Amino acid sequence: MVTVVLLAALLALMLLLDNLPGVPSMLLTVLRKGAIYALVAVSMNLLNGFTGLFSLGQAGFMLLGAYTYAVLTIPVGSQASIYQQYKGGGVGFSITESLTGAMGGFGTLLGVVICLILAGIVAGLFAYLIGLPVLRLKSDYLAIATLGFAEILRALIQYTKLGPITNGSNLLYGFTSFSDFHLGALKLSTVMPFLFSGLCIAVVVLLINSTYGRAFKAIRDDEVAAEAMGINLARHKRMSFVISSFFAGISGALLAMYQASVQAVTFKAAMTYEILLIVVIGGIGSITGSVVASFLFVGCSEWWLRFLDNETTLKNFNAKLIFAIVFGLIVLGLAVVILRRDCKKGLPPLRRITAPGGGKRVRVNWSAIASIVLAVALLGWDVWFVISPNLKLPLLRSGFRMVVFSVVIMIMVLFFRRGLFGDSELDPAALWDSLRGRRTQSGRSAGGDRR
Amino acid sequence: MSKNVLKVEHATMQFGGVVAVDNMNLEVNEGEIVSLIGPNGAGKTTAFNVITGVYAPSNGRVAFNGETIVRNHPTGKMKKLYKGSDPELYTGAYRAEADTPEARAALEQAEKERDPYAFSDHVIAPTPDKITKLGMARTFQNIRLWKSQTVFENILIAKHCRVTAGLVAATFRANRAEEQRHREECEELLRVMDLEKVRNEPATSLPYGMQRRVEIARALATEPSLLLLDEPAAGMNPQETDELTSFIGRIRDDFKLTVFLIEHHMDLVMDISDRIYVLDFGKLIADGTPAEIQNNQRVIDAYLGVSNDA
Amino acid sequence: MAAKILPYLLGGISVGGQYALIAIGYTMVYGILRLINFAHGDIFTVAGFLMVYAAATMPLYVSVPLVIVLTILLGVLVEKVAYRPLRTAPRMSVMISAIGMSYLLQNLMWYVTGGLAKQYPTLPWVSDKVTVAGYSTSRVTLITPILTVVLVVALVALIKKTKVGMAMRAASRDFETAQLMGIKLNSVISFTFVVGSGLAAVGSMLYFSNYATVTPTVGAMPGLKAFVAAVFGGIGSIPGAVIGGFIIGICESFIKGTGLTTFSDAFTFALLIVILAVKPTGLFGENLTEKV
Repeated sequence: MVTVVLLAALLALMLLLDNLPGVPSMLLTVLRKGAIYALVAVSMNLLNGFTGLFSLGQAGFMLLGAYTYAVLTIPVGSQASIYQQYKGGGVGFSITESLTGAMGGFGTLLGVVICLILAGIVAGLFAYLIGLPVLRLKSDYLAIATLGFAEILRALIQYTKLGPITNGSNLLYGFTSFSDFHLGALKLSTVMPFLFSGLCIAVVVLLINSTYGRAFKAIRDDEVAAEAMGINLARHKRMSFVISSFFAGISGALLAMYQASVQAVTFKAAMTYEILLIVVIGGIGSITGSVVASFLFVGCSEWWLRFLDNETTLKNFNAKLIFAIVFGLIVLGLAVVILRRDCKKGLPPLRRITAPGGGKRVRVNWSAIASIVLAVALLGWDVWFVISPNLKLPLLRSGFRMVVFSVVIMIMVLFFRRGLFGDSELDPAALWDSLRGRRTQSGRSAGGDRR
Repeated sequence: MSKNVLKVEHATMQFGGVVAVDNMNLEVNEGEIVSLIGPNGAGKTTAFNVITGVYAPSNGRVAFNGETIVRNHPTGKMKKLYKGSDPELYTGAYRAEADTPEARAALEQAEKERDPYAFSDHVIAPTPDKITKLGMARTFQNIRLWKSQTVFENILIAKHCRVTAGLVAATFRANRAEEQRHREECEELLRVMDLEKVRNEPATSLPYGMQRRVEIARALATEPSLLLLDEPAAGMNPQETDELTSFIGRIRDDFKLTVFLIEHHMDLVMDISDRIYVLDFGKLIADGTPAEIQNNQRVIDAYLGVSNDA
Repeated sequence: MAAKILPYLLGGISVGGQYALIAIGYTMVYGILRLINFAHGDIFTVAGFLMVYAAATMPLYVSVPLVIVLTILLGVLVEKVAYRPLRTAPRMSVMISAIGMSYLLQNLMWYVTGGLAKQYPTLPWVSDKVTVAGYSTSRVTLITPILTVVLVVALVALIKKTKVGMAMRAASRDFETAQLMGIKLNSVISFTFVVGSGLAAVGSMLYFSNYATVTPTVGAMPGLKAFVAAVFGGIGSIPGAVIGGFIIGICESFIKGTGLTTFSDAFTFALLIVILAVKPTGLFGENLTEKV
């Protein structure tokens, strides 16, 4: 119940953001893209995190969904110009156009919903077919096989013989997108992705907390025991695969709506890797984690770290001094923290120990030494920077943002393997109760026993 | 004569060139508690795995409540490697031994009534979940609880095979009544197994003996008529073993079960079993009542040894 | 007829040899660590970029060995930073780390090079044009298979005849027991990465002599194809990886010849799916009898 109220509040907030003046457009971009990525991440988490099937085919299913949606909603009038290269291309009808013509604004919504569902169904259908041979494979082979299938799908879509439908490697555009939604004078471009995404994620949460969701978790934890307790492995793995792909297809269609254009080349394996990294950062096995991590990821990559891409020149010597001091303190602080942690673990940089055969030897902790050397070098540079007449900060130019981003991701993957939320969820109901001072059962997993 | 619940016929299990189970024949009747004992490596767990469908036997047949649930014969590579007996018994090539045509026909008829697929090559090799759904549940020698789930959830998941609602119905909670009923049955199992206090603990954080109880409760949740226990007393102290002994008898009565168990704790076995089968190097070397087994010289030589307080 | 297929055959053998050199790195690492080193393809690309920068400032007889050494150092560094700490973690974590490392390397390359494609320097003698059976091609096409075979023979000899090789074989059979038997696993694994990265560097020199444009993502596809070659030949088997590489290279060349260029990549994956469905252990892989 609390969750429903929360979602409604969230939608109301989006409505305000859509229509109030002065809202930075970057914020809206992050919110929209974040909502869409949240759905893909959740779909991937369903498969990888909750059922334990390591699949790297997400981009392929998003691709199918995006194309299905686009092809079915391009207005009939534009089809000739869009499919220039393939005379007579396009499907010759547009579901949204027909429904809009018949029922106006409501028709548009209905048309979009129908096409989204169709996008999911097409993706799910392919998942079913692919799953038949592939789901039997061991984990890393499953990963590569699904990756391979995604690439095959991408090549297939670009195949010139299928051009009349897919427009080959050319762009598809002109279809119904988020900016086509209005409620009277109110713009709905951010509300809609949240609405669609939120509904889908809600369905996934319901699934996870149902008896079938528990069966998936049992398969993940120990599939031999799951099979012995009456759970048919092939059927349930296929189920999870198809459902995950269904939602991946819908998210692909949502992405198409957001970008207002579709091209096969954007759905490369790199996209799947990004989703995987989002899932890992959020916590494998945590829906809350996937959602939060999606927004963080999109926020960082699109907005907050953008300043790292700009060549920055400090204003004057004082500004440089402040920067140098702050930088120096950070480096010193990190070095001290790392060294103290190592010393506490009994691994100082240099240590005299008794070798097994007798006699003394010096054991070196190379990573501690490396940290010291690095810290000294950085501090040295810091001093030099202050002394030199230079006012321009080094390293900051186009591409630095992604480097910092990737380093942060690697740090999370190496040192925070459980991600932000591990495998637990933020239970809104429990949070609400605890806020009102009531003691409840722990919100260890979403819903626990009460839903 | 009580109804036959489990019948294993000519079961042979061979891994590559190693014969783990050799021509095993055994039966378990309704309401009995039957034990399978023998030295380590004798093939007891392998026998369990054949019965529950984890392995398809290289040769042999298993019937559950009169219905053939597993049936196989050597094919392909195994045909060359097979070291067991009667490789043609479960194929179409098997010919009944008899002199006259009428005798042969009568034999064939009797055979067909016993095994509906007699004289054919028919292979039945179901996955373990199908056998569980028929009413046979098992526990594992090395405890296999689901570590991310609580005790209660572990038991509840085992109810999934009895769920009649489909995926969509379950997701959109159209199955509230059934779900409620299943939850109540699981609560009951918690009570019976004395696990109520730990119901919300992560299942693998419990002491070993308690984890075994959870595994048994989990198996019971699948609503079996035949329960296979693989070393249920392993890791238990004498007091716990005593409790387990009376416990097994109790659940046999309360849940109307038949129990087939593998065990090394001889006190438990001799106390509780109606009959015992002894396995050594994959072959059955003896079967009978506890008294008969205790006095069987072959068993004593192979396994039991002589008691110090004789 | 022969004249028509000759260019495709030669091209296929050439690129196949390059795939083979990369595939060896994959198969050796997978054999011991059971890890698909997603970053291997990017190490291959880095080697390409290193050569671009090195050749611009140094004479060739310095830059060639330098690039090989630097690539080896990079490979070992990646192993130390991204894989060694996760040695005891579940397989999925290590694979994610490999993917993360690949992502990092690509972004680093993008940052350093500014996103513009770089032109690979023409290595003299290697890039010279020669005539084979009336068809003109660059010497790379001839050198590649010969060099590949020589290197592979040397490698197989090393694995069969030296202590290090034996340690590697032991580690790929049974990781833990090898450690218990006193094998310094860290050294063995580092050595594996040394060999794999070195071969990748050589492969990159041959590859980019043919396809002279270097971009940060140019190594992704050859890397993936090399991996398929390793799987196809039997993961853990070096001769298998080599044969797989040549087969993929030749088939790809012929498919491109028939005009279905978009499918030349897809073919590799279709091959992967087929082999996984029919014989997952690959051509020369060993069938393990599973004792549960």
